[in-house]
Amino acid sequence: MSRRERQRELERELRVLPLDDEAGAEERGWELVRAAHGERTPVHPGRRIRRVAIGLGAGAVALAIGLSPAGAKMGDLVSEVVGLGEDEARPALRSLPAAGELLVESAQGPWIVRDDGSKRLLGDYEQASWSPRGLYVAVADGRELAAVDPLGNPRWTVTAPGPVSDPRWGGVGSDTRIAYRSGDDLWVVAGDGSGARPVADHVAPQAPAWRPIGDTKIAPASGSVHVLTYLTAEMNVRTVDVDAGTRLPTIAEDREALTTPPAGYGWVGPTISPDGTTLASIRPRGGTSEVVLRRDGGPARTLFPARVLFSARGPLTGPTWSPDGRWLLVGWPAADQWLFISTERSNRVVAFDQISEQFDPGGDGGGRFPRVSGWILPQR
Amino acid sequence: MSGALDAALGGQSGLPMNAQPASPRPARIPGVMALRERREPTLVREAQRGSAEAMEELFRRHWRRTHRAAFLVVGDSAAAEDIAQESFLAAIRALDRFDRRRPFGPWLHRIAVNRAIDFARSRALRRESAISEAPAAVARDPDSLSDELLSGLAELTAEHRAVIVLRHLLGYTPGEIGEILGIARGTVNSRLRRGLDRLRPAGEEARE
Repeated sequence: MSRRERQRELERELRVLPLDDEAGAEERGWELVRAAHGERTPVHPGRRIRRVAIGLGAGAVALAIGLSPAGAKMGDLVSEVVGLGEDEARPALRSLPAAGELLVESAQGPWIVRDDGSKRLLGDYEQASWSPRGLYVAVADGRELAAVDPLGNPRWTVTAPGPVSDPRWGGVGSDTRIAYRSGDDLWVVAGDGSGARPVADHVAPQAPAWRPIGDTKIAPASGSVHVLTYLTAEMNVRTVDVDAGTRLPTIAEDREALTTPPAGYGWVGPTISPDGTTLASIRPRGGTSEVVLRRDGGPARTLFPARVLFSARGPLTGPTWSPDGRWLLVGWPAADQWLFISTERSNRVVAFDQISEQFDPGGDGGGRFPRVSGWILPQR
Repeated sequence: MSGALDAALGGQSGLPMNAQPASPRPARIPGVMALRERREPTLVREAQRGSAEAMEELFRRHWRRTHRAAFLVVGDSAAAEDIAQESFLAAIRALDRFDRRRPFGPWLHRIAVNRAIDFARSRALRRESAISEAPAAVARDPDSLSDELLSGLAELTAEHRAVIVLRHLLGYTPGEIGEILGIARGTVNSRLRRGLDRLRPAGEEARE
């Protein structure tokens, strides 16, 4: 074969080499470009949609990559983000990177955010929790606990002796329970609003947590289904079968499930991935917060070393898993941003800016930073 | 990029002469179909004025080759998609400042290929093989031409791969490649020779 023939053959091979999901990549690219082009109006030049693909080659973000810090696995990446400014973050929450709907608590009340970015305020409620299938939301309003549908229509309401806070809806199918605090006491009610009863008194100002059902590693040894973990006023962890009214041995996962640890505990989380294989946490390190993943080693629960996905200056909130387990949503109050961090693709972060303002329409966004209560794929 | 390069590439489409045929595209509305016949400077002007249709036409004309070029340099599907996207976004950010007398393609390719090289270099610094993820990104057949091609590319540095891609996929001349990458023409030629030796078409060895 002559040199010229060889060149022609090479040119042909380069053109026909199959690429993975080439058509899909083109359509994803066009959606992004279309959005960016549509936002490049001179009226608000700063309000351009920018995709943050934090990568070594992207160069779009002030970013430094280093090897792992002490305690982390060698080769893990640490993204030291100085700041995701207006030029790097998308100003509007136009779409979520994964299917599902967010439940967000804000100063105006809880919102449902669909994956196309549209959102609905459920009402003037304090706190909210998805039902396990995403069909309803438990909301707290003064001394009342209510279940509302995704349009905000109340399904039922129960009145508690004291102010209701920290509702947490757990269970499977139609066999569900909602745990909530009423004053200093911990209560539970069935998913249909029946059978409200106290579970414990003098509990800590801390949201309780349900044990996951069906997780073979965290399955209750007793066979109990509705197992609740909470902190006492003395900061002791307690685990109870709320149906039987009996106390159960506390395991390490119960303690970990209390996702908002008391001051001084240090870590936030972990939260367990939808497939039950990975734990995500936020840990402080100096003046930064690190989002770390640990893969669960199996029945023996031998955890692999933490892998740092991302770090940022100041505190972070969350993390919240996407229903498909491919993204973590983390709040960054100091930057007023939400960060969607890929758990699969190194250094890929999609940032949304002006979060407080977006959940405070008509206001100045100066209220509390919106908190993500859950990300679920509704089974409607 | 020089005026000579602009002149060489600034024809009807602004693409090199041996550009690959347009890929099959989704059905378009009639108004958009008409855009396919328009010259690129016209499309750029309309895109600058906010025409989404013109922007889409520019995107469709250039995406596949930009994406492919990025993949062939970095050997990683996900990274290639990121790089192609970022290149287009960078182009949009600079769209208002873009000189419509210049062709759009070379401008975009310069961004994409240089980003791809940066990515591959950085990954190499992290002791990861720049091409090692390619097998997972491409449908694999032990006897396929793709495997041989990717294996050959993997033996080259990112800079060499970029030269090969710019020459044999995107169709630039050695002089133009030198301008795009900021290297001497002689260096381009030597890299092309070495690359061609490495990337023997599949089956050639068997015939020899």
